[in-house]
Amino acid sequence: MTDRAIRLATVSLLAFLAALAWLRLETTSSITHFLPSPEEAEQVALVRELVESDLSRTMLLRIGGEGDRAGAARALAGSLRELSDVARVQAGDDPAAIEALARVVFPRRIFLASSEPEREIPALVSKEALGARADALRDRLAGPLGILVARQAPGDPLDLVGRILARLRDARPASRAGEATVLVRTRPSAFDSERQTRLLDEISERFRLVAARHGPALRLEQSGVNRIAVATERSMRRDVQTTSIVSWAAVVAIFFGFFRSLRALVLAFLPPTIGIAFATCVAGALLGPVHGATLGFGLALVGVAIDYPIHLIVHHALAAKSVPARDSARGLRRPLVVSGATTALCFGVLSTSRFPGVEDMGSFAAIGILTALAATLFALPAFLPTEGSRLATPALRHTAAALGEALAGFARLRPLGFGVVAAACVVAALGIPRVDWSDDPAALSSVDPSLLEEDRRVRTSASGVDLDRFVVAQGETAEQALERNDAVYEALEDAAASGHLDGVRSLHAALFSESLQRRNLEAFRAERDLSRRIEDAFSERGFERGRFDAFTREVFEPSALPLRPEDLADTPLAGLVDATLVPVRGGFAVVTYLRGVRDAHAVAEAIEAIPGVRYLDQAEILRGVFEGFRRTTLRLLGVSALLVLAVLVFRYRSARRALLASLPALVAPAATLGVFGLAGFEANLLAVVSLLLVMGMGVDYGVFMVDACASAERFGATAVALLVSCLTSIAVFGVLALSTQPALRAIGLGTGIGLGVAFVLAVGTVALAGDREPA
Amino acid sequence: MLRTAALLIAFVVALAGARLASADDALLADVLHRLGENGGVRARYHERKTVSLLSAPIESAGTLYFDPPDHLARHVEGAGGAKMAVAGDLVVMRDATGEERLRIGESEVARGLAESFSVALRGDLSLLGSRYETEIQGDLASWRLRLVPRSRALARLVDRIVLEGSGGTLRRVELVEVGGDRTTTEFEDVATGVHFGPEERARIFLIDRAPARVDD
Repeated sequence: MTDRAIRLATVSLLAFLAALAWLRLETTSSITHFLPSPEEAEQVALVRELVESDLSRTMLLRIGGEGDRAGAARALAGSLRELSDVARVQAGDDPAAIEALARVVFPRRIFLASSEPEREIPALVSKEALGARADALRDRLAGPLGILVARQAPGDPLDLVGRILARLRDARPASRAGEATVLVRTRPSAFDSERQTRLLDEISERFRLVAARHGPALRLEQSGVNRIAVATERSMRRDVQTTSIVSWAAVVAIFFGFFRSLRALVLAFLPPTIGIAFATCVAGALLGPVHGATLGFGLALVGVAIDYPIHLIVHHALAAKSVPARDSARGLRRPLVVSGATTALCFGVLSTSRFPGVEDMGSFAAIGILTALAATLFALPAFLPTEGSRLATPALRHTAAALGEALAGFARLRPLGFGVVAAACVVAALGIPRVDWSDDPAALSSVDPSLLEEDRRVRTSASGVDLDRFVVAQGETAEQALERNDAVYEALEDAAASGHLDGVRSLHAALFSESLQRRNLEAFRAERDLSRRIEDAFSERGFERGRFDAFTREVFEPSALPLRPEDLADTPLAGLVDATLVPVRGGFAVVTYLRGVRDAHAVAEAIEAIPGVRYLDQAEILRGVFEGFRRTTLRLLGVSALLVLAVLVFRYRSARRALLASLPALVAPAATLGVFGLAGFEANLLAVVSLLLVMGMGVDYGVFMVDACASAERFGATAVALLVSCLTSIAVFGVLALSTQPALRAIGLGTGIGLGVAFVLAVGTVALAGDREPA
Repeated sequence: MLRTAALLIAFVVALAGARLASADDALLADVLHRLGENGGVRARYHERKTVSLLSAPIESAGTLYFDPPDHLARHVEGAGGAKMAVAGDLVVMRDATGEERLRIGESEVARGLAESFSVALRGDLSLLGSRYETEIQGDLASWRLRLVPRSRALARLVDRIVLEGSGGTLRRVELVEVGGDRTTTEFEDVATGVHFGPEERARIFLIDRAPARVDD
């Protein structure tokens, strides 16, 4: 096949893969991609379902300031209902919604009277209680709302509706005087940043128009998971754009410095680009939606896989005589294949992780690297001129010569080699025990503190609940989940009475299970002579006899069926139902939010006897997940290191040469961690991922350097190729250390430090190798 | 000829009716103007509520306060006397058992009940006309104003409100409910032109403490 045909085929293939990836690729940004497989961790499975449920789709909007706040809230709610991405909207004081609530609750007042009907209802209808009720009713009839009370009293002399409304008061988001609330449930997931960004912009714009009509001094505060997710993504994208510009500028400067040719730059990026495009197509075809972090990690492979074309280009440019590029590639085949295979192995081990997102990253990386290697060996030569010297600049030649001489000098300084390795090991030994590990997921991203404060202020002032801790009652059916939730409510009320927490926000306040509702009905029916007792007690306090027959009739001939979740759909409590009754795998879950938890252990104990019920501390669970992810990745790093060593022993048939070649891969990650510990840098799971990159590139440096030791011709070329690779990789990754996002900064620091250490250790292998040995 | 006479009589009757309507409008405007000129009002009241549920009426007494345009309060006499205040959009009720705060919002019923006669005390003719059908009888020395709610929601509860007074002084209000129950409130020791200082205003109209929450 001619070089021209290969070039045409390569460009066509790249265009095809890029188009396929662009058209077919679906991405996701959900954190659930980095949670363990559901089969393994039930609690985490529940958390991931809750994260993806309507809970995260709910926004709270508060309107304050001077002006017609209530009118603005209703106008805003009406305007937002027009948006296709809004599933439900409620303004806090919508009279129609309140009237709908009254129509739903009043006919069911008997069913919803008490959480403990067998105990409370007999007490409610005792002679003393009925007398007190009659006195209270008299007082209320005398009050300003007596006209309303008089209409309701014949059907509800015991004021059961008042009891129910008092319970409901705690279940709804409350407004401070001077503020109005609007509850919004969005259709797209909170993590669908494209749609959420559009929606948030619409909310801001529509509020601006509403405020112009209802009071220019009105202000809007918002709370919602979507705002945090969108803000985080915007910040990360801004950072990546900034660091990309700096990165590219540095890479162009490096290539111009050594090759004075854009052609060399383009050719160097060709194989990694093919690798990423192919890996993306495979991921899209086999994995379904690809996580943004997986794609980001894949793009980082450029910095790893660019080593192979750089080596080929440099060696071909510095070849002693003009040879076809294919011959240069043939001469480098063995070291390139060994380094590519071991690097792919390093990342491929990740695909054995129990975290789906990490598995994807490992598979993506391994496929991408092997493809880039193949493209380097078989396609890139067709793009290189036969006269490689046309690519070489005086800077490249001089640097190669100088480095070759320097390394030749090193080869006679074996103690220096031992010193370099020993220093790295000492740094590792001293620093690793001091490493400050952070597994807090919140610490991976940096969000505007004012945004977080606004979110916290709006949510906690509305409900006062701790959003990270809750109790979940699961059931195969909604009724079973509600029954368990009834028991949870009782247990947590007792726990609150004992001072273990301040209170709860529970669906139980608005909705009992059907079985509990029927127990209420039966409890009233069990009271003998109920009608006569009510008549006697009330008539003694000045009431006319026969006025409360409607109530006793309702006990024996209810005018409505027990309340169901769907009955609350058009009422102000619809938001509460959406936020607490969640379909999950295997049935339903009812979430109870907690206020002011003082003793989490006591709270967990209070509910542990109830089947299908758990206490969840979401922050703790995610922290444990991230810690598990970190430990797993560290363990896999160790496994990768052993596998790399085994492959190199097989390649070199010499334990000594295998150990020399693997030195940068084995020691650089450890020394990097040591630097983190000694310098006081916070280490997180992204820092661990960066160690993988260091290991992957470190093995390249070690293999190339050990192979170069066998040939005088290659020594200088290999050294300058390694230098260009190292500088390029530091420009691609190390620049991330400038990012404001902790996750990106961790990768930048880890790779920047690690690659520098790996390069120094690669030089150290020259000293340890001593005089050149045959390959 | 007979036909011409009939037309003439009809014309005179119509003219008399028109003059009568004009005279009523003028009286209403005059009464409301005088009521509106009162400014702040403080008066003792005695109230009698006839409720069909009860075998005997409920009687209470206390003090009523009005600070235009939209602050109204009633303080019931006696130990543990209840207090009710309307301040703009907010209704506050406080008694020995505690306090409730409600926002009226756009609820026609709640607004109608809370402002059952304060809307007249404001002296705003157009506002009164927008909320009620009005019919006034008598003269400035002794007038009787009948209000029938225009709001269908309020009209389901309230049949009519009848205000009686003299000049710019309100003497009696009777609220008759659709079911026949009625509340009659009589005023005495009516003081007008009352100025409420900031502390007094906060204390009387129950805005003297920041609320923990308000129910919508």
